[in-house]
Amino acid sequence: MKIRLFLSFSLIFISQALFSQSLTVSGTVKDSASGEALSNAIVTTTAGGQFIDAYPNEYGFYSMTVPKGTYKIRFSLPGYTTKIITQEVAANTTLNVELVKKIKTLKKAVVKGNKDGEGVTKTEMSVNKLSIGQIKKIPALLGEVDVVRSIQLLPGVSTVGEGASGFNVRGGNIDQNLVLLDEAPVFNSSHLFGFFSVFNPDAVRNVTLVKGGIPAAYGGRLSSVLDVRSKEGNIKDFSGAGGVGAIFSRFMIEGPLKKNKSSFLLAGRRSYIDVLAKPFLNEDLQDAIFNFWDVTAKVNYVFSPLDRVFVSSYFGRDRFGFPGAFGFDWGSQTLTARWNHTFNTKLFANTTAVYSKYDYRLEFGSGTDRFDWNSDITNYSAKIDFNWFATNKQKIDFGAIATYYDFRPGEAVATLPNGTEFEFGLPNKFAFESGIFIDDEFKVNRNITLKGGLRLSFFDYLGKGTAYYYGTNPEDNLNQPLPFDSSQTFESLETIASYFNPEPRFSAKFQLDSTSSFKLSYNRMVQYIHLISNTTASVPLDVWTPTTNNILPEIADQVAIGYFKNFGKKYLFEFSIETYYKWLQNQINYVDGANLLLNEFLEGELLYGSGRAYGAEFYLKKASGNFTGWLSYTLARTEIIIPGLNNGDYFPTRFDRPHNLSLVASYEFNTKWSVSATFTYQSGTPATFPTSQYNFQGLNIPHNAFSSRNDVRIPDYHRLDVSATHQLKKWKKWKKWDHEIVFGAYNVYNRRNPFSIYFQSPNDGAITNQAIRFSVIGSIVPSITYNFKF
Amino acid sequence: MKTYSNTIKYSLFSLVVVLLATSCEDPIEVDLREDRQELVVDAVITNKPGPQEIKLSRTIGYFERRGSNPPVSGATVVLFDADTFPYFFTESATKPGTYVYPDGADFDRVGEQYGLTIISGSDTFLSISTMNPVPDFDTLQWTFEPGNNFVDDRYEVEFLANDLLGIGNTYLFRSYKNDTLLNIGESINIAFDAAFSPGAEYDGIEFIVPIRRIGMNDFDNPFQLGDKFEAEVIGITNEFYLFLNLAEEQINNGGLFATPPANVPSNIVNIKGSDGARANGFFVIGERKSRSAVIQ
Repeated sequence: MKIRLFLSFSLIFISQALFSQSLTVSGTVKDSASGEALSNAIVTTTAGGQFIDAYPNEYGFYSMTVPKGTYKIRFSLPGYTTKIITQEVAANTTLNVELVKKIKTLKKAVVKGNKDGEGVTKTEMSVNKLSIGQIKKIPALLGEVDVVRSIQLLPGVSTVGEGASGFNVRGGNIDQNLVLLDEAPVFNSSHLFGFFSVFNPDAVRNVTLVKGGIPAAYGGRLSSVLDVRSKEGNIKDFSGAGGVGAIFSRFMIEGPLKKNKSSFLLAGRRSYIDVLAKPFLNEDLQDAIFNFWDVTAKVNYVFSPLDRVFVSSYFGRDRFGFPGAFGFDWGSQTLTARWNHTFNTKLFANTTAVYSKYDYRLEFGSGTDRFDWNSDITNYSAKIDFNWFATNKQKIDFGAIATYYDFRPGEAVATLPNGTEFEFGLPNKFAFESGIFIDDEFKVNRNITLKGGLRLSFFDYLGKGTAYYYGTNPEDNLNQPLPFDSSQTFESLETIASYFNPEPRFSAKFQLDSTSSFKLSYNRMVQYIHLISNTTASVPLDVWTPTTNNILPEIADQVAIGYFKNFGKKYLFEFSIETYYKWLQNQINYVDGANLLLNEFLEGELLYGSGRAYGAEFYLKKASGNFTGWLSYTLARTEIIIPGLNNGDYFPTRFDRPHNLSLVASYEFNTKWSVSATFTYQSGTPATFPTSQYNFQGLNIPHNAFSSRNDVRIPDYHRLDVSATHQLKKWKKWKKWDHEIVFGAYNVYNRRNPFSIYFQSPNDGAITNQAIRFSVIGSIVPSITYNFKF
Repeated sequence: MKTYSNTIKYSLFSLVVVLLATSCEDPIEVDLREDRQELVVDAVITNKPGPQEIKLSRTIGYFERRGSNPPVSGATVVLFDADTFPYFFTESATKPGTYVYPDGADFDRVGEQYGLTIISGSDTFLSISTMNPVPDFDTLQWTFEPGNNFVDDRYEVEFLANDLLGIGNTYLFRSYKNDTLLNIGESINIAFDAAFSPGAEYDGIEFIVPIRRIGMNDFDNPFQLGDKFEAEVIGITNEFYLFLNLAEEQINNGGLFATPPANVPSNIVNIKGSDGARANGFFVIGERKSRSAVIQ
């Protein structure tokens, strides 16, 4: 481990030696009103007949190399007025630029697309970016816009259904997404069982979903990276936003602590469903607790033109229960500290320290007749990222990360009526994960860009703890717990099992002409921590577990190819088609009847297999104009093969959805009214149905004569949502106050989309068994929300 | 533990359903793959004096009338003890498919293996079970519990007993009210040592509250003054413990947090091997003890 740490951090010093002799223009691109970094902007110029483009990083920093001379440098970003600056470059030049947001008008003249929009010109593929502005246009459940529900409308993304936590990317399980909020991993992104996510839209700046060609800087999950960046906080002026809705209220305020030096952002939400529902509940349920709250806070300070520090934090909690009978609450806490340092005009570094924790607590009974249960996952992480803008042809990103995990699988205390306390549970588990990574993006010529990367990941399953070793089951009877063989105890920080994996990454872009390109990518991802869940929908009770001496790291290899094209009058349309194929190893499944909670021998009740996922994604988007929106269609399969299940044959996973279509459209009639609609269609999820029944000791036991798994599908899912937004009249007294009212209807045509179909033998005297369709949302859900901004 | 987590999941599930008021559950028609009609063996044998029964039937389609499983007549059903001494079960004249041995008291070799042979048509099925011991009931007791929003006034019954020494004893508990078995077909009260499941240190101690108390009461049909309460315990094999656990899970599986449906494994083996017809159900033989009292 020491050697790895040394390796990781020696990179920092090597970087100091990196210098360059040519002239550089570098700086930051920011929003003129708030001072927020504009990381999606494009910076271009022409030098000696050669086209040069540069893309700012997440902190708005860009750098380009030019010979001595005078240049017209163009800064553009859809939604902002393009700025062209004539700059004489006689020495290394710092050019900080502020772009002005376009004001909503109906003048058609301002509507213009980009012939060479970034979808076509950037090397990255399988990436979807959503600005909070776009997310806010999408009709939302109960009128509350939501980040995770919005990305479910993107190609390659699906969900098991309403009420399921998380999201599935290209057939991956929900734990295979690396969800980052300001670089802190979020282990459970759901409020209210997945109806809402933990990201407060008022505090979010932008959202990036990376499904393939994943940069080497990211690792530890197989399927995707969801990178959510919160706003930095308005450094120039106080402003705020908020809303009052049917389910919760929001408030956000941001402003300078010291103008142009330091700013803050504070945002909070609180739901009041239990309060609103009270009058409609019968007496038994009157005292029910059913709410959530969260707070997002951030401060940043500019120490010098070269140094800036950010500290951001999220904490939130969901609470359920009946006082005195049972209580259940869960939530995440994250704390991120970041330090941006510009070494020189070409080298930018960001150092991050992260604390992140997810925990839940359960209690039954009260007073002396009680049962309490706690479980959590905590991690401490340090990361350093360098962006080295070596030349206009070459950009190198490199760095290192180290993470220490503390897993508490479950700790319970039962208090008996006679007052004695009885403690049981499982001891904590510990692990150390580290990685060093480098990505080198090289422009071979104007049309070809190659990017090669490598991540070396290391994982140590550490003591203090007991490792269990198991025998094997006979080939014809694998679907049962493994026989226990022996156990061994390990001291604190002693390595129980150790893994190392090189993870190559590669992508290439071939520019076909100025409006179209062809891209391909390959990446290997390795995942060392796993969410143990065997239920239809993931529950907040599900427990994370490290890779151990028994559980192997999950591995995915993905290749993807894609074609990207901008077309139409003024290039308002962006089109892409991508296909991918993934090979998955060490996928986890469960023996029938596996006991996943507080089970010391859990690792003996897991089954492992491999999988394959493949598909094609079509995406057509219109990003600007009065009419905006997108159409996305995915044709995909995800199958796994687990010895011992489904007679040893491939079977589709629960999130295999061959057809997945989303249509998102909004239209602005005038400055007062706009409307939006979304339509989604997904093939029904696979399910296992019984074929027969038998009677044993008075029990009516369902039976599948074919021992098959997921060989039938529940009916297809489809839904239409609409919303209309009305900008309210400005107040004469306070012109700054912008407000609107949003009317929405979710599931407009009242479809009962089945979440699942289950089977039961009713006890009410019925003489036959029944199939029950369970719909989480079985009717139209109207909503009205008031939003404001100042 | 399993019971706790099921309770938790069910409670959460109900809450979400009630409070969101948007969800719904309704019966629908679905097409299922056709059944294959397999043999079902229901053989839970004890040393209780008096007749012991083994029932043979066939599976039926899932949507056929419950309990209409056709009996399997004309089979040869023989139990052997460890010295291969045979005990013949003969088919009842009045209840086809039910095979009876006159006196369970003959099965007295606790701790030893018994084998069951069933010959039906061209198939021969074999199964083996160890006859496991059980502890004595030390005492039966009850307390009056006033009703609340969910249940009426009632007497909650309870037994006191200790798990036998040694890790891995498994038991099936049953509760009788006025000689009628409670909770039939709903919840199954089984124990691994003194608690629910393996992996916890509960060896040789008093059975935990959920087993000795909660599992012995049916809150829809509570005990009242004057009722006769009988507690029964049967020593079962670990395999049968697993079978019952899985059976219960399959029967109650559903909703938002359902696990993938799975077949409950049987210990009845067709000696023809893979080309023989499959059998379902279970054979277990165990020591049985009981104790009764009238609530007053």
